[in-house]
Amino acid sequence: MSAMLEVTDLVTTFRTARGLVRAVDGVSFELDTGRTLAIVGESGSGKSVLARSLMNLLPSSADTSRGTAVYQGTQLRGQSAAALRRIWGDEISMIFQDPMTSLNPVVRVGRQITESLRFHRGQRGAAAQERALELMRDVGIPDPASRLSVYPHQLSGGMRQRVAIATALACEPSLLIADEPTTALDVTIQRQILDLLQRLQVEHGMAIILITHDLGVAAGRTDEVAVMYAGRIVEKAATPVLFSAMRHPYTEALLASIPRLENAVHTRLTTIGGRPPDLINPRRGCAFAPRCRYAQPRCLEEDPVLETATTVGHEVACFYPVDTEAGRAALSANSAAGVSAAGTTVRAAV
Amino acid sequence: MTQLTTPTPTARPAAAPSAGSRAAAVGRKLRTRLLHIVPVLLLVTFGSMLLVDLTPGDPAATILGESATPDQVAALRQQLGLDRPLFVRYGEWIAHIAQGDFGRSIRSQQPVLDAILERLPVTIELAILAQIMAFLVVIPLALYTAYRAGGRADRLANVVTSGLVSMPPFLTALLLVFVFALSLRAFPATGWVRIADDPLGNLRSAFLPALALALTELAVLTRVLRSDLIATLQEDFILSAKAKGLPTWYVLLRHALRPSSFSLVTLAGLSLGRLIGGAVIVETLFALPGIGQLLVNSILAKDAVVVQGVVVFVAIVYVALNVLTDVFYTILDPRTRVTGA
Repeated sequence: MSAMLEVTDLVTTFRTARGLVRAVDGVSFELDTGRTLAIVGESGSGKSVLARSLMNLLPSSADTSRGTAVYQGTQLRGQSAAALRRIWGDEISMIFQDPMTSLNPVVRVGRQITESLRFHRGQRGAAAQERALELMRDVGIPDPASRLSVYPHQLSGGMRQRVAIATALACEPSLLIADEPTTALDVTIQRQILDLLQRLQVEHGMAIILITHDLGVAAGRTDEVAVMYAGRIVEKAATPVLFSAMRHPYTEALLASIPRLENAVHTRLTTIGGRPPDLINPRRGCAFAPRCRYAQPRCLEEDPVLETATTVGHEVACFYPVDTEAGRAALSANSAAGVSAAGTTVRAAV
Repeated sequence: MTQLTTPTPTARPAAAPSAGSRAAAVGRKLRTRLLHIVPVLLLVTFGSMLLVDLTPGDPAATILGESATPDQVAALRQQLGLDRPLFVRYGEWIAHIAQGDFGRSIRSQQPVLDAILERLPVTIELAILAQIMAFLVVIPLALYTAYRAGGRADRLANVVTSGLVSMPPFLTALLLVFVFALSLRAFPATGWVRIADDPLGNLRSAFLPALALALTELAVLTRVLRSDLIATLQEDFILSAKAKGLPTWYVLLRHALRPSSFSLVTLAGLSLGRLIGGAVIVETLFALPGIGQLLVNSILAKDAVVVQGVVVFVAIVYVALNVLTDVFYTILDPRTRVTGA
C-alpha cells in the first residue's frame, strides 16, 4: 500500500527582482497515516515554503511546475483552485507560527472555528456552535461557551494557539501541517501545545508534519525527522536514530548549538559560523560546505545526494558523514590544518 | 473651558467579555468625543465672525446702495448692531445660536435657520445619493483589483481613477451634462424636482449632479481601499483563512474588507461632511436649491448673518460626522474598544 502523502522531487522557485530563488530544491519524502514527521532547519532553509508547497498555498510568483505531491492518490500540484479548496481545511489543515497574526483580529473566535464547517460540511447555526464548543473543550479552552463571542486579542497567546488548533481540527483532517506552532509562545505554553498536539494525534489518528527550527521540539514527539538545509533535505531518519547517530555535519552542529543545563556556568554557546547560503545564486558543491568543519575539496566541487547511511531508513547527503571512517579522517585532517577546504577556521574537536 | 478627558488609544484585554461590550464601548466613545466638540465649535464660530468682520466693505453701505448718506449708513449700522465691539457681538450671537436662533437675513428678513432647513433636504439627498453611487462601485472594484493586483483590470482601473482624481468636479459635471443631458437627453441639465411632487422626476434631476460628485469620490476611495486591501491580503490571517478552504469571495468580504476599511471610513466621513456642507460648484452648475447655493448667494449679497449661520451649521455637521466616524471605528475594530470605566 502506498503512503498517505508521497512527495517526490518537489521544487518551488520564486521569481524575484534579484533573480530566481530556489526555496525548495528537490525534496522527497513519504508520510503514513497517523505518523509524525518533523522538518527541522534554521530560518531561510525553506521549511515554511515546503509546508505551503505541500498544500499548494503559494503566491502566484511561485513556480510549482516541478515535482509531485500526491495525497491519497490525488496529485496536489497543478490542481485547480476549486479542487484544492475542497481539500484545504477538510483533509489537510494548517497551523501557523504566530496565533496573533494567523487569527483575524476583527472576527469572533466562534466564527473562525466554525467557518470551515460551514463550507465543507454545510454546518451552521446551532449545530456548528455545538461542534465549536466540543472542539474548544477538546483543545483545553476553559469556559468555551463564553469564549465563542470574544475576539482574538482578548485571549492569551496560548489560548489563541489553542483556538487556531481547534480551527484546524474542525473537519477532522487526516493531515495536519504545523508550521512552527510553538515558536511565538512562552516555553511553558510551548510544552502544553506540543502535548496537546500529541494527544489529539492519537485521538484523531492524524498524520502531522511538524515544522520547527528547534530540534528539542522534535525529540521524543515525532516518528521521523528530516533536516533541511538550503531547500533540501540533508538528513532523514527515525527520530531515535537521528539523535543517537546523526550523520550529517549540519545536524551535528544544530544539536551542538542547543544549550545544556549540565554545561558549566559561562560555557560559551556553540554556534554555527557563517550564514545560510544565498538561494538565488547557489554555488557549486555542497551548500553547507562553507560552514562545515568536515569540508574537503570534493565538497566544493560535487553535490552530495541523499543516500542510505548506516541503517535502513536513515538517509544522509554527505561525502564525509559524522562518525564514519571518511568523516573522522576529514575532521582530523581539517583540525590538524586548522582550516577546512572551504577556508573556514576549524578548532580542535569539541 | 470644559474639562477634557483624554481617550486611551491602546486596547486592554477585557477581563470579562460580555455581549453588551460593543454598545458600552460605543457609548463611552460618544461621551468623550462630544466633549471635544465644544472647543472646536467655539473656534469655528469665532473664526467665521472674524472672517466676515475683516472682509472689506460695510454691510450697511452695501445694503443701502451708493446713494445712501453717511447718516443713513450709521443708523443702519446701529440697527444691525455693527457699531458695538466684536466680542460683544460674538457673545450675543453665540448665546442666540445656543438657543437655536441663528438670526435673520439682513436682506430678506427670513430666519437663517429656516433658510438652511429649507435647502437642507436637497443637499442631503445629493450627498447621500453620491455616496451610495460611489460605494456601489468602490467596494467591488477595489476588491477585484486588489485580488488581481497588477492584472489588466487593475491597470485599467488605475488609469481611469487617476484620470478622475485629477479632473476638477466642475469639468466632470460639464462633461456629464454634455453627454447625458445635451447629447443623449436622458437627464435634465439643470433644475430640481421635489421628491414630494414627483419621486421619479426627483431622482432624474438628482442623478447627474450626484454622479458628478460620486465620480471624483469613487476614484479616491477606490485607490485608498485597493491599497489597504493589498496590504491586508499579505496578512497571515488571510493565508490561514485560505488554508481553511474558504471560497475567495468569502475570504475577501468577511476577512479582508473590514480590517482594510479604516482609511475608507475616515475619507468617506470627511467627504460626506464636505458634501453636506454644500457641494457649492455642482449645486451652482446644476442650479440646485441646496446649502451650497445659499452660501454663494449670500456671499454675493454680503448677507453676513446668513454666511455666518451657514458656516456654523456646516461646522456642526462636519464635527458631528467626525464623531460618528470615530464611533464607527469602534464598531469596525474590536481592539479599539477601550474597556473599563
